[in-house]
Amino acid sequence: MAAADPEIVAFTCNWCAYAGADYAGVSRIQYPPNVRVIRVMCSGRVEPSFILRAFEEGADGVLVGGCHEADCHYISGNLKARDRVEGTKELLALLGLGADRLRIKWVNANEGEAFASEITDFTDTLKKLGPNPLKKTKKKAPAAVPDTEEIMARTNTYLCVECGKCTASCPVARRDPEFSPRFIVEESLEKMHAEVETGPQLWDCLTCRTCEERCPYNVRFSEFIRDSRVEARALGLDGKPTQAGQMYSWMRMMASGGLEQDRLAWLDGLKTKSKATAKSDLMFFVGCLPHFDVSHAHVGSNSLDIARDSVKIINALGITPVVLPDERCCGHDLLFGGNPAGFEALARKNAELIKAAGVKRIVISCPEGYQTLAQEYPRVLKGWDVEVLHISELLAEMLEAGKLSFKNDLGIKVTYQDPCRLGRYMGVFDAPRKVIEALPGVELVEMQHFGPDAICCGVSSWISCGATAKSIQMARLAEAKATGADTLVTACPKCQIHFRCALSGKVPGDRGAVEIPVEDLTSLVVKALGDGARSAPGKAATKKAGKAKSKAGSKS
Amino acid sequence: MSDSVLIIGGGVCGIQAALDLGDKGVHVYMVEKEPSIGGRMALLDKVFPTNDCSICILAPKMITCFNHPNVDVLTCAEVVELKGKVGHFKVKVRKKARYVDENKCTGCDACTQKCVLAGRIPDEWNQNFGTRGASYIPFMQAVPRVAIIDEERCLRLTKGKCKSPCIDACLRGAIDFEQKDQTVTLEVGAVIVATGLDIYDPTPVTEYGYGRFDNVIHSMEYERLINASGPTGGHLHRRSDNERPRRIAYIQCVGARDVRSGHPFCCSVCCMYATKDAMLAYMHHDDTENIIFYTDLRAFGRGFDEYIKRGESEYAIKYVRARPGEITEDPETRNLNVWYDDTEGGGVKSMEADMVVLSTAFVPPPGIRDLAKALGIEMDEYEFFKARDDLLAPMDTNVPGIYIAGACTRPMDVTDSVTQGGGAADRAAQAIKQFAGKVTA
Repeated sequence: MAAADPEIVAFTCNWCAYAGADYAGVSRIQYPPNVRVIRVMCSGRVEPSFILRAFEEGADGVLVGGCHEADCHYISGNLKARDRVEGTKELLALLGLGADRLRIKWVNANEGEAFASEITDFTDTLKKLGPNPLKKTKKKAPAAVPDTEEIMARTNTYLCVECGKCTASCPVARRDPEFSPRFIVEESLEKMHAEVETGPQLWDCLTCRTCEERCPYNVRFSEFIRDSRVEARALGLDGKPTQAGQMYSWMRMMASGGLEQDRLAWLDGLKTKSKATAKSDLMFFVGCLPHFDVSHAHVGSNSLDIARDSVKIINALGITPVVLPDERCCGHDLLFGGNPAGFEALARKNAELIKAAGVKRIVISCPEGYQTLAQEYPRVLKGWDVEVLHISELLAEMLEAGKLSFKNDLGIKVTYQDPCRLGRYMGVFDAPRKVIEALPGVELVEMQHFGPDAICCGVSSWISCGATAKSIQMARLAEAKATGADTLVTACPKCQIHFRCALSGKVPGDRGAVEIPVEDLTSLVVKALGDGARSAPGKAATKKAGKAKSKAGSKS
Repeated sequence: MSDSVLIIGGGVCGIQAALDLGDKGVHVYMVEKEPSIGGRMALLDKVFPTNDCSICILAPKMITCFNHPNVDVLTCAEVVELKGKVGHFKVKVRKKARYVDENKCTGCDACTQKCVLAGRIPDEWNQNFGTRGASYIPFMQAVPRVAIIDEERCLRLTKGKCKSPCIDACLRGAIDFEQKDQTVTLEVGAVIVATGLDIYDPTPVTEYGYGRFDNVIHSMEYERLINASGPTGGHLHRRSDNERPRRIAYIQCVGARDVRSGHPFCCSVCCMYATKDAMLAYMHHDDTENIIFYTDLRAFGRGFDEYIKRGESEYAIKYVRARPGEITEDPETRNLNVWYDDTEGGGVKSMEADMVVLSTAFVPPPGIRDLAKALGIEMDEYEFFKARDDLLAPMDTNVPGIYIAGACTRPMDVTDSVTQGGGAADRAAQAIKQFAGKVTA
């Protein structure tokens, strides 16, 4: 019956669309009865997260109704809604739900007819599209609540001597006197772990591991926080996810069954394949880049540049990588957001897809994905034996083997942001630096804090983005600027987003002291490769093809 | 059968053992790998808890030991092999060439002044604060006070081309470039290992910026800087500008009680020596502010607690319970900001200091595993030598006739090292006496 009876959620603005729907009612205009109307003051109030959440909960279609252009009671809320809906359509297309399940319609207070016909037409369309594939997903049993004592023992909190080195190292604690890793551990040691679980500070930790890097007793605070969040979620508590949690929505959607995604539109002629071959079994794990490209378009994320540049680089190495159309989110943020069941579901799905494609080696440009695939997947998946590399490691390896040469002299001075997951989690500090230093005409200068002491970009797992995050970002950008570098190079799409976001709006104080272009390592490498990056695959490698029997496969 | 005892290591512990044995009439070979005996204590300025001048109380012992009729001291020497059993050990010792005849040299310094490299090589005996030449005497009170030629730096020895003014300068004709390394075999009845300690190199603790920030130094560097016979004549100067520091922060437990550095143990001395360091700075200039950032104050020895109290009341030392998270540097003034979480007052704070002294841990010296292997004695997981029984046989090892003493067994101060040296001497004397009774050859 679901196919015949689509469920529509309509967000309608108080002044026009809701009044229009009301008008349709009082005028006894007939239209299919499968719409649930939710009144909002302005269509501009409708965030992508609302729409995604409706689909996550099983809606077959979502309609956003607002005033006609120039009629908005808040001047331009409807135009903002229109832009957001456009972006959200792209996300729905990526998720495989299809852009046609989302509509925006301008309805005036006296246009009852228009509202009714829109619902009629939308219902017809949805009947043809069939039910929301997420509807079939069975509700999962709530995940087991971890045992506090077990978490504390596993993360060495009992060894804490309360010396405060963690708190004195913490970028959050330095700005927010309410936040203290030492105090959080102390509370748990004093049998007040409930305070930790229910307190807002639980969600303020960046899990950046700066404290862990320095803790004399190896208290694994990030893991302690991560798993305590599972307890908090079991109590119905959540952090303060950014963008009202839209990223979490799509992650959870990907974790459930039913979706058949098509996320490769961006490839745009680059050489990839869907299955490994005997000679070349390397996969490029794209991660959430296509989604970030949409969700953070307003800060100029251009995250897909990183994906394209990564594939260009891999092609330039003479490799045609496997790229999967139905790849899922790696699960990092669900794991750190206190949803290990969701993480494990994603891990299992990815593992199936990767196994089916015959992949033995994965290259990834996102350090969070890298850490998750390399450290967390082996923990939860039996028989996971895929080698995982960050793209900087692949590049360093190829440079070492003499399989990479650059054409263009870039003539710039750069500084480098160590991503927490790449550096402190995975211990990869040298590979990106080797790559940067190998680029012609590129001079690398270090910031005051670098390597294991590097300061986090301010936000992790899309939680707690606020004044503290902004202050951390400004301090970090100021450090970058103080080096005299022309560009701040990141090796993490999220670092790039966070810094670009920090610079996209107003900045406190002198803009000149913090303004610096932020670019991903891959983009810099592609610039240096020049034509090489666009040349036919195999060109760069043919010279050495004879002796190069690299694990990654020298030719595709 | 031999009734000599070999003592490996000529620090205060080994010296005490040698004196005790020598006075008992037991013949001793002392093998010291450095060109002078005296060990770490010879380089300290003052020692806690009495604030005695370190070299003033040690030097007489060094000289007595060296000149003792029953003690033969071999410097620049290392044990490479040991065979046999208690009463019948045969020990191979490699004695490195000094290129100076020890019997002729009077320690007049003529050759060291004439060396073409004089003043151009960082002086490791002064923690690289001062300089020396290729021909040098390690420190003013060295015993034996005999020059040594650094074979890795000397132009004649490395490149074969130097006019070698040292040869002409030496009126006694002691310079001998023909000298070669020698291996000697000693027959001894018992062995005492007193190889001492090394200072933890705080470079890996990157958050404190040692090696990056000029005015962050470690405690051994501080000792030399404030030492009247050190490179600055006892004037405490900052490396960046030679200015006197007005506010000094001391950070405790650097590389100690630290799982990450591989040293989870307490180094047992840094609470006390940091207090002493702070007292010295105050004695030099009583407007110096001294702040000690500690994890726990472990003042467990006789007079120690009183010493800390005196530090607070008479020397205005401020003790703050916190392990700082990081140090940042002001690039202009080269002053340092110490970031800490005041665990008693609460909250993250930063304190500006002119100089930071890292109170570094005592750790086993590098290469000590080779010696353990050569002797066949056991070590613990941190490479300290392991006693047969920590409670009831603390000087004994798993090999009968080989004894351990001093900071090679665990971090310890001068008092304990001397006590252990005496204890090990007694154990060794007993071993020999047992054998003397039943000579079997």
